[in-house]
Amino acid sequence: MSKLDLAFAALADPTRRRIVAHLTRGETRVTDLARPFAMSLNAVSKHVKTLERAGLVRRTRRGREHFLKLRAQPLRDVADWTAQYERFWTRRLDALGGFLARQKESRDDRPQ
Amino acid sequence: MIARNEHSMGPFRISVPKSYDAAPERVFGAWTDPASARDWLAEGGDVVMDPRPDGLFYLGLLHGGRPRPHYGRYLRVQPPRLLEFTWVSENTHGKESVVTIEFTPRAGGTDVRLTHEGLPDEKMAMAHTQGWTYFLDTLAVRVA
Repeated sequence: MSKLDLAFAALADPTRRRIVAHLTRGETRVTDLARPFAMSLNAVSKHVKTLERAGLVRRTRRGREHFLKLRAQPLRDVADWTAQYERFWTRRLDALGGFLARQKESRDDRPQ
Repeated sequence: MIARNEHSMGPFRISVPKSYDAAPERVFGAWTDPASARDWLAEGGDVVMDPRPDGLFYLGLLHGGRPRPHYGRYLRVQPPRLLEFTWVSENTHGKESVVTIEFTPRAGGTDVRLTHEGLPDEKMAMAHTQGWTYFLDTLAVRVA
């Protein structure tokens, strides 16, 4: 699987999306993450591992505490992927504008 | 109404607005008249269209000198206000996504909003979830 595939797969799960959304506020202890999700530490750890494999979060250990931090690049890749379609349609809709303008000109040129 | 194939649809959705100084009838017509669509949409590539519910279209969009097949079926054809069709290309991995175009008249022109939804991710088995687009947009802004 490509990096993008892994990011998509990891973000397909609503709990993991909520975890990622939570981490946008800043670095968080894994134990603090479990609390708002009403999940066991074990369950949270499984989700965190999936996010780690996708490169979406980085876990660092300080003493006995595990801290999680969001990594922006894979999220940018996901956003860029959808932006391709936006660029495609923006270009096509611009081309339609050009076509309508040309159509109008040739109508106006028509002998009365 | 012709049913969408929800099960084959991915979770992504984009929306593009555009304003034209032409009446809705003309803007709508440019989408459903094959000669017009050949000019601006297919960039000279092959166009076959049967713009009625469940009618099919084929566009051989020329890109980098070679035709890229795009095809689909019309879902809703309501001139000059609404056009909806499915959209299949190599980028959708053969799955149907849905394009909806709304044409709103304004003084001297038409406001168009094109929405493309059901864009596939790489794993089509995933369920698509409400709020996903909002989530992605918010996130894209936050990580920018």
